[in-house]
Amino acid sequence: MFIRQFANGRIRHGLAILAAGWALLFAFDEQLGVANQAMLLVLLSALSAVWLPPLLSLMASAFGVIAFNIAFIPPRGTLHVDLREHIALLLTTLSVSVIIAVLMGRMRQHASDATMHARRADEQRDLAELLRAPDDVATLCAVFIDNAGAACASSAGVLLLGVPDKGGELVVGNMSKTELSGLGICARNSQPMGRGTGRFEEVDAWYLPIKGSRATLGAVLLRATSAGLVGQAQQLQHAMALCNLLGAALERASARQHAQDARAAAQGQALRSTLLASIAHDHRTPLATIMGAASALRGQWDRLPPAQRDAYIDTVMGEAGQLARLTENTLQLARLDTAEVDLHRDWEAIEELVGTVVRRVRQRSPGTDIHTDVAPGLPLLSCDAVLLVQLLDNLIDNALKYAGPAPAILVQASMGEGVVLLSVLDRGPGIPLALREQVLKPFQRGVQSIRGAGLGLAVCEAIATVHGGRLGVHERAGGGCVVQLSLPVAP
Amino acid sequence: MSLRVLLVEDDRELRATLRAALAVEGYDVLAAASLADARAQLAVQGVDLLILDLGLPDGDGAQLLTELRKRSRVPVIIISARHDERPKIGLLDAGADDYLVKPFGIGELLARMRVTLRHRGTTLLAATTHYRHGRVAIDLETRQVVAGGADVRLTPTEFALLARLVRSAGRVVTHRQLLADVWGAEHVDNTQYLRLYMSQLRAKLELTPADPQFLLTEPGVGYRLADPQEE
Repeated sequence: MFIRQFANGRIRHGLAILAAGWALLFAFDEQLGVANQAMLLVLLSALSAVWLPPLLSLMASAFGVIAFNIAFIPPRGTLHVDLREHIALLLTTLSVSVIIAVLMGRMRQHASDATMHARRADEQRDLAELLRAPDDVATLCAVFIDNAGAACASSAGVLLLGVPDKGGELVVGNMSKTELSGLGICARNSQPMGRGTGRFEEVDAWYLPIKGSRATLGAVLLRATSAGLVGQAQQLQHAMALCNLLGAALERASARQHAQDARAAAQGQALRSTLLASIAHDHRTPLATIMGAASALRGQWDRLPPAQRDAYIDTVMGEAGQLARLTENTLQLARLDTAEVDLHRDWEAIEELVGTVVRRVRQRSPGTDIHTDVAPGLPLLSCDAVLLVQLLDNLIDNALKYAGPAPAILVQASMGEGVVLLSVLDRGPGIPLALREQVLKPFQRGVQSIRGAGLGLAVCEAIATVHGGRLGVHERAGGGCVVQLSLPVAP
Repeated sequence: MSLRVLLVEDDRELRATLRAALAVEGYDVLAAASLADARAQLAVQGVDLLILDLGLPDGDGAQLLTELRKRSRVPVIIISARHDERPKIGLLDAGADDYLVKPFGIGELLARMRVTLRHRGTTLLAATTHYRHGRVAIDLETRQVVAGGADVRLTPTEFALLARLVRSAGRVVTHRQLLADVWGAEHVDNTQYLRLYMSQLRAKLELTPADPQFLLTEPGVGYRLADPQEE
C-alpha cells in the first residue's frame, strides 16, 4: 500500500519535507539551541503527518526523536542523555509528535470518509435521477447496470423475477450459468451473498437482492474487479442502497404500467359498449326499415300506388345513406380511440371546410334551410380536413334531427382568443342544462327517440380532442341550441 | 358504336348491379373480378373506360393502374371502400382520372363517367376553353372572366389556377397537380399558396364564398370545378 502511495507522490512529499527539515537542523546547529531544535522537530513531525499515512508518520516521529537524541542531545553520537531536563524534552517532543500524528491521521480519515460519503450520495442521487424516466423494466435494468457498475467500479448483471411478459424472468447483462443460478438463489432467499455479507464469503462478488416494498423483485450481481471493491463494508452498503433505488424504480414503473393498462382497459370497455350499442340499435333500425320497404316493393308491387312505390324507394335510399353515415362514424370512433391516431394535418381554409359540409348536407337533403356566416380574415388551420368535415357534418345532422320540422341551420365561423370557433346553430328546443355535458358522451341522447345522435357526438368529441380542441353546448340567444367547437390556432 | 367499359370489382352483387345499370345506359360492359382477369381482358381488347376497385383478391388495383399508365391513357375511375384519402390521392397523382367512395349512387357514377370520357384525349385535342356555370362565364382564349354579369379582374396566378381547373372541369384535381402546374414542381408541398389563391378566387367569383357553387373543395384531396352547365 505504501509503495503504491509512494508512486502517487504523497509519501515522496512527506519524506522530502523531513529531509529538508533535518538538513536545516544540521545547518543551523550552531545558531539554535536544543530547545529550538526540539520545536523544529515537532514542526517537522506535524508537517510530515500532513503528507504521510498515519503509521508511517508515527514511525517517522519515533525515529526522529531517537535520531535527534543521537545527533543533538549531549553527549552527541550516543543514545545516552546527560541532563534530566533533556529527557523531559525528548519525552515531550515524542508525545506531542505522536499526538499530532494520531490527530492528523484521524482528521484525514474523516475528510476522506466525508468525500466518499458525498461521492456515494451523488452517485445515489444521479442514479435515482436516471431511473426516473424509463418506463420499461429492461431499460431500467440496463441504466442500472451502466451506472451502478461504474459507481462500484465493477461489472454488473441483473435478474428480475415475476416479469409476466418476458416468460417470468428477465436477464439483463452477460452472466455465466453459475452466476445466474447464484442470482436466482439470492433473489428467492432475499439475502445478500458474497464477500463481506456473511454468506458464501469465498465468492469474489456480491449478489444483492432488489427489494421492493412488498416482495423481492430480483437480484443484482456486482463482480469484483482489479480495483477490489468487494469486502469493504461501506461499499457494500452503498451497493445495497443502489439496489434499493432500482427496486423503487421498478415498482414505480410497474405501478405506472398497471395504471396505464387499467385506463386502456376501461377505455376499451367504454368503446366496445359504444360500438355494440351502435350496432345493436342504430344499425339495426335502418336495416329493418330497408328490409320493410324493399319487401313491400317486392311483394305488393302490383297493388301499390306509384306514389307509394316511389316513397318506398326513397326510404330505401335514405336509410341506406343513413346506414353508410353510421358505419363511417362507427369506424371513425374505433379508429380515433386507438393509441396512435393517424392524423393527416394540412393547412386548411375554414371557408372550404364549411363550404364542403354545407354542400354535402344539401346533396343529402335537398331544400335544407342552411346558411353560412364565416368571418373574413380567419387564419388557416392545421387540421385533418376529412375529420373536421365529418365533425361539422355530424353536428349539422344532429341539428336537423333535433331541431324539429324544417329547421333553419346556421354554420358560423369566427375568431376567439387564440382559437377559431366553429358553431352550428339551430332554433330547435335546445338541450336542457342538465343534459348538456352528458350529450357529448358516447351514447347519451338529449332526446331518446332519435337514433345515431349519441354516436355522432361521440365522434365529434373524439375528433375535437385529437385536434386539441373542445366541444361545447350553449343556449342560443332568442331560442335554440349552439354546438361550438373551439380549435387552437397554433397546433 | 357504344363505348366499351371494363368494370373491375370483386364483389359479385355490386358488379352485377353496376353492370346492369351501365348496360341500360348503352355502355358495352365487360366485367372482371380480379387483377388477373382484368389483365387478360385488356390484353384481348381495348376499352374506352376502366372502373377500378382498389381492394381486389389477387392484389391492389393500384398495380393495374401503374401497369396501364405505362402504355395507355385510357380513362380510369377508382371506386374504393377505403376511408383513407392517401392511397386515393396517390392514385390520382399516378394518373387515375377520378374517384368515387363506396357507397355511391349510380347517378354519381354516370356523371363521373361522362366527365371523364369528355376529357378523354384532351392531351391531344384542344382542351376546354369555355366554361359556364350559373353566374360565371370563363373564356380562356380571350382571358375574359365574368361573374354576375360584370367583368372580373384576376391576377396572373389567379387566372392560371382558374384556367387549370377549367381545363379539367368536372374532374377532381389534386393539390399536388395544381401546385405543380401553376407554381412549378418545386412548390408541390406549399398548400398554403393554394388555399390563399383559392380563397381569393372564391371571393371574386362566388356569391357566398363559404357556400361555393362551382369552386368546390374535395377535402384532403384537391379541388373540383363543378361540371359546366350547358346553356
